[in-house]
This record gives sequence, C-alpha cells and structure tokens, in this order.
Amino acid sequence: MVREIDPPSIQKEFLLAALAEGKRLDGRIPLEQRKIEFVFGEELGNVECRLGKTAVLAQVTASIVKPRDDRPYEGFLLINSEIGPMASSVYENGRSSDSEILITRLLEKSIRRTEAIDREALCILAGGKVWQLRLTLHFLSDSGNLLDCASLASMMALKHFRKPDVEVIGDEVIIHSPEERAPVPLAMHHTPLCLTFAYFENLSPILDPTHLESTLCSGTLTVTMNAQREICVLSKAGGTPLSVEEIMGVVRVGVDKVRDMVKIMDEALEKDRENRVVEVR
Amino acid sequence: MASAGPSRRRSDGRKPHEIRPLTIEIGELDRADGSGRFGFGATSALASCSGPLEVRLNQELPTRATLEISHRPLEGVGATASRALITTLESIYPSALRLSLYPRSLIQIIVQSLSSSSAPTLSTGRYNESPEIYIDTEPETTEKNVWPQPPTQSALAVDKKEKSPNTSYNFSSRAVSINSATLAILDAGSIAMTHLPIAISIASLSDDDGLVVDPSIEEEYNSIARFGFAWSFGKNVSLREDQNQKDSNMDVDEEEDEEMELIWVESEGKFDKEKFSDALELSKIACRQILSEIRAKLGETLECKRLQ
Amino acid sequence: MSTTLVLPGDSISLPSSFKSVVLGPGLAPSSSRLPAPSSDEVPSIISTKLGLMSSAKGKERSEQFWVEGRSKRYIPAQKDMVLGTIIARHAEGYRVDLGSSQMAQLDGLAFEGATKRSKPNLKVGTLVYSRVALANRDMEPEIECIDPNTGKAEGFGELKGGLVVSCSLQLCRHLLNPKFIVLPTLAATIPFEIAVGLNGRVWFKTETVSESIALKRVIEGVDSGDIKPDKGAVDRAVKEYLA
Repeated sequence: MVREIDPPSIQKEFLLAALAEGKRLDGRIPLEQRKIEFVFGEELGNVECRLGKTAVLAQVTASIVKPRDDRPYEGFLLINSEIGPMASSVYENGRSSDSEILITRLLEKSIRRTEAIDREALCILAGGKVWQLRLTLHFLSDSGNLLDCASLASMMALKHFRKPDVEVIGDEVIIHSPEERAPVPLAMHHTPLCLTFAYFENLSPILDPTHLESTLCSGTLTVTMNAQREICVLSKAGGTPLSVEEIMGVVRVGVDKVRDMVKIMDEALEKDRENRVVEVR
Repeated sequence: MASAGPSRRRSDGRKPHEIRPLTIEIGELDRADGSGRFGFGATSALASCSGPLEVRLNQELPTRATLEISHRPLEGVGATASRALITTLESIYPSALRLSLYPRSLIQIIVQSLSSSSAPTLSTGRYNESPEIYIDTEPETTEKNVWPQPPTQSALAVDKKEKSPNTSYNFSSRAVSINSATLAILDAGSIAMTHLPIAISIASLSDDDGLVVDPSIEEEYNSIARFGFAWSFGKNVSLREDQNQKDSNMDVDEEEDEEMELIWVESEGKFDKEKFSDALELSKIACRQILSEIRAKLGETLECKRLQ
Repeated sequence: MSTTLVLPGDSISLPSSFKSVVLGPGLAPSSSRLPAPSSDEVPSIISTKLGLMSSAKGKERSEQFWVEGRSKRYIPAQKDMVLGTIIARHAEGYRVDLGSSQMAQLDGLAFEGATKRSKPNLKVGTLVYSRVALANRDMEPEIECIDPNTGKAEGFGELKGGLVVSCSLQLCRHLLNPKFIVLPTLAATIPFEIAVGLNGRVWFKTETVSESIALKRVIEGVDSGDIKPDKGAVDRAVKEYLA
C-alpha cells in the first residue's frame, strides 16, 4: 500500500473559488456527469464501463447449485467487489480500506437488496437446483466515483448476460448448449443506478466527483434510483448536515439523470445486439 | 521443422503456425504509471505497472526494489491457479528489470485476466447428478459448472486423452499475462529493463499430427500436450558462444542480430523429446513475430503522442 | 534528429565521429555476462526503456544521446527544478513530496536570507518550487529553495495561489523549451505566471478562474495527445475552453 498524499492547499482554494463561480476543473458544470462508455467483451455478461477516466469491469457467470432449505425457490446472486492496486496504488490486495467497504456495501444494497434480479426466476427445480449468479467486479482505474461506475457496469453486465436454456423432465434437468437453443436473458425487475454527489461548505452539490473533488469535499451523498422515479437507497456517511430541501433537490436531479443513463445503456445494448449472434435457429 | 504440412487448416481457418490477431495497447489506465493490454484473439489480459513507489518498512530491501506481482482472475477470487501464474511471473521479471537501481522502493505489477480461465466446465446435456453444495470460501468448487463456457466441438472426443486440469490456467492465458505485463512495464517507462520477455503457447493435437502455434481454447482443450515458452530479447542476454563475436557496427532493430534466451518453459501432457524440440523452435519464430508486431504497434502509438 | 523506436535490450550503435559521447536516460552499457571485451573495443550500449532514440549536440564536439519515452513517475536527479508539497515539519526543516518513492528533505535554512533566528515558516500543504540539491538512490533526496551560485531565491520558494496540474515528465521537459510552441501560443491569449517542475507538475496562476481552467485543460489535452502541439490546434482549444 502506498499512502495517499493530500494535494497542496492551493488546489483546494482554487477548486472552491471555481465552484463558487459554478465551474469545475475539467470544464463540466456542477450537475454534469462524465461521459459514459461501455465496451462489451467476447462473452455475454462481460462489460467494461468507463466513466471519464474511471474504469470498472463487470463479469457475470452462472452455475447450478442447491438452494437453501428455508428458501427452496430462490436462486443466488453473489457479488465480489475487491479493489486491488490496479485501480490505484493506495488500495491493497486482501486488505479492505474504508472506501472499499463502503462501495461493497452500497452495491450490495443497491443491486441485491433492491431485488433488481428476480431470484425466484433463477429456480430450476424447487428445493433441488437453482442458478447461482456470480457478479465479479474489477476496479481498473480510480479517477473518482468508483461506485457509480461499478453500479453502471454491474447492471449492464446483468442485462447483457444470458443463461443457458434448461428443460425439466421429472427430476432430470437438461441444459441446452447455445447451439441447440438460444440462451435466455435474466428476469429483471428494474434497473437501480447509483448517483454520487459531493458537497463543499456553503456551495451547491456537484454530481460525479473526480478523484481530486472527492478528496477535497466535505461529504458525499449517494442516491440509488431507477427509471420509475423510485428511490431505492439513500446513503450519506458523515459530512456536512443537509436540509430536507437540499436532499429533495438532489433527488429531482437524479430522476432525470437516471433516465438518461438507462437510455444510454439501452442504446449500447441494442448496438451490441446487432453485432452479436445469439439466436441460433 | 514441424511434421505437419503448412497447407493443413485449423478449425478456425488458420495455418498451423499462424497466430491469432494480436491486441497490443498501452496507456489506457489513468491511475497506474503504465498499463498494457495484450491479446491473442479472444484470450487477453490487462496489466498495470507502477513504481518506484514508497515501500512499506517491513518490505523494504536495502539493495534493491521490492517487486510485488499480483494477479486477478476474471471470475471469483484468486486461488491456486492465480498463485501459480504469479510464481511464473516472479521467475521471469526480476532478471529482466534492473531492480538494484531502485533500492528501498516498491514496484507493483498487477495482471488482470480478461478471458475465462480454464477448460470448459458446464457440461451441457443431461444433468441429473446432485449439484455440489455451495461453499463460499472455496472458489474451486464454485468455478465448476460455470457458464458461459468456452466453445468445444465435442467433449466426448477427449475422454481418453490427457485433459488439461481445470484448476490451472490454459497456456494461452499464461502467455497473454506475461506479454501484457511486459507491455505495462514498457509503458511505465520508469523502470530500467535489460531485456524483453515475450511468451507463446504451443499445443500438440495428436501423436502423428504436427504442432499448432497459439492454440485456441478449443484446440488446447482437445490437445494431447501443451507447451508455454517465453523468450527474452536483448543484446547480450544470451550466454551462447556462437553469438559471442559480433561485428561492432550493429544497427538498431536488426532481426538477424537479435539475441534471445529462453526464460520460461512449462509443459504438460504426452510428448517426446523430438516434439519438444520442434515446439521450442516454433516458439522462437512466433516470439520474434510477436516482437516485431509490438515494435510496429508501439512505434505507431508513440508517433501519435509525439510532442515535437 | 533520429526517430528510431527502441525497445529495452536493443543494442545502440553510436557513431565514432564524436570526441565524446554523453549517455542520457534510457541508455546503459550492456551488463554482459560474456568475457570482458578487449580495451580497444567500443563497449556495447543497450536501451533500457521504450522510446524514440534522440540525440543533440553538446559542448565541445560531444554528442548527447538519450531515449525519449513517456513516463509519469519521477526519479530525483540533481539540479532538477521540481514542485513539491510540504507534508510534514520537523525541527530542522520539512519533508516534501515530489511524487518519487521517497520524501525529500528541505532544510529550514535552504532559503534566501534564512538564518537560525529567522527562518521561513511554511505550513503543511504548502507548494514549493525548489531545486534538487542531492539525489542518490540510496539516500533521501534533498532539495533547496535557493540558487547556490547566487545565494538568492531566483524564483524558488513558496507558490501562493494558482493551480497545479500533473502531466508526463516529457511534457514538463518540453514546456521548458522556449521553442516548444504550446506556452508561447497560450501566452498570446491568456496572461499567466508559470512554474514547471521536472517531476511532472506544472503550476500556473492567471487573472480569472476560467483562464486557469482553460490552461489546465489545454496542458492535459496536449499531454494525452488529444491536442496536437501546434499553434492552430492549441489556439482552437483555448478559444473553445474559454467560451
């Protein structure tokens, strides 16, 4: 691990002066997100998401396991999100930093606990066999706001993934290879996405903070929302106190942003679908 | 050289000694000092390299830099297979880097596999044996029965052959890991390197058939023997006598003059001495070819980013 | 200027027509494991990093050779001018971060006119422009905010206000070259004060916030290769960022 060195104090003075004029160092306006890009891998369920220079790779795989005895109809969704030194030298293998724990827990809340995936649809044979999905996140580059980037990558990977078609005859399960039957997409309830805002004393919040901005800010607020205007998670860990109006203001911004993000995702998926042969008939 | 005629085509249309299209990219990661992506067709890896960095006191070495190499598999968390790959990388890079120039510092190399690790596992067809009970702490048990699976023509055909064990990386993945790490170090540009390691995998499809260079996942899975070779390129890297005497007016980038030394060999399966030496010769040619592609690609990249 | 791409391990042929040859970064005598060459033989030189082979005329018919690569990580070298952040204070001076593997030492007396009684009092987080006085791989680097020849500050010392940008070491070196077109072009549109550190940091100060942001984006753009370092491209970018 290499310790993070605080930027010189003039950097903060300048950043605050710029924000007071409503300007950010990379030329964005306060509530503007960096450019979102998706790169799909060779396999279904392999997506690299770039938010400006921040990059996260998500990979979904499925396997067949026995369900829990108390939940015989439910499949599993496991999330692996360990931040390694590739993202930045301040992270260390096998030792979770505070920010890593925060990111992992928020992802858990916004993907698993919001029931984005219909887990009952993962059941193959009640009490016998269910699908277990494993979502692995690889944090490639931390140029600020890993969380939003990871949530985009995760949801995109889940949307992109397809599991093989199965057939149940009595107690026997037949798994069809993709050559025989086209694999089927996952059943999803909605697309919750994280939006992180950073706060500075007496200034209006900014969306999608860069690395420098998140180092210097006095606190962040993350809302997880879906395109149906529902707030799924609202998380504010410390920092300056906020009034109800301020939070509602942020939520209103979030409604539009999430809708735009879902649109970008759908367009990227559509483009990928045109170039990919999934159906085999 | 190889016993197969060059006219024979492989399942993906390649000639026996043809490598898949290469991906060679540097500098895509912003927060690392250097990064490189290398791929043989769909098999690829991304590596980053940072350093010299501040080292932790308990890892500090008074006479040289501490080299920390880590690897992350595409699915799940690192296990024995990752460890084996790290050991391979750790045997290659300390000799290629001049670590003694950076005492009391840390050099980090991280390799991220971008293609799934090993042989196909989720067998399609009738599936009625009881599934394994899920244990979270042991990735090996969960990595079995994984979907998506790499393509196979026929799983039955290999029953009697020496199968690649599921737990380790295929040779193609090992080769891309080495090559991507080399690219990352090149891109970082802050660590002196005396020679350049480049790796290739070779497989033997059957006893009488010839060898194939850069086997696809499918070919490797159906092979009877697999080899991984890494050659290091550089002036005076070799100890061989015949290359001792050289005329002094050498030119930069002269293919014939290039000296190379074998720095990594791994092999498994059924093969004889002759097959091994054939594979060794083939690997030399393939690595030379990769080197010249790297040279061409990096020249282009650098030209684009030139400041004058 | 030659433009050959070299990779580590490539052998480099040096023309024998020069009186003396200076080897710069990225070149080293090959550490051959073969028996030592006889004395009249030219020792073989290899490249140790990726880059373009470059050369320039030095003093007295000597020729300088180096490999022009790209890197982000600074390794201290004597006489380099660097930008550092003070991260700690102790009795005799300060510990300064230069972005290298070790913190640099800045003596409290290494300032213009400093005596034991009156020393400058710098806070943690202050940005200082300084010169590397001592750099040795086995020791912590030492820096000073004074020109040892004149005993004057000569611009070294605390930098107040403004903004710091990180970029590649190569861009910093080029920015110091008066013939490099980027800064003169910028200066035609935006008046600014600038300090270039060879450790990959550039400090500048302008009248307004927008000008600083435009300057920062141009420098970052040139560094990433998005903006070509010619007059037209830089001009266009400045106009666009200022709008």
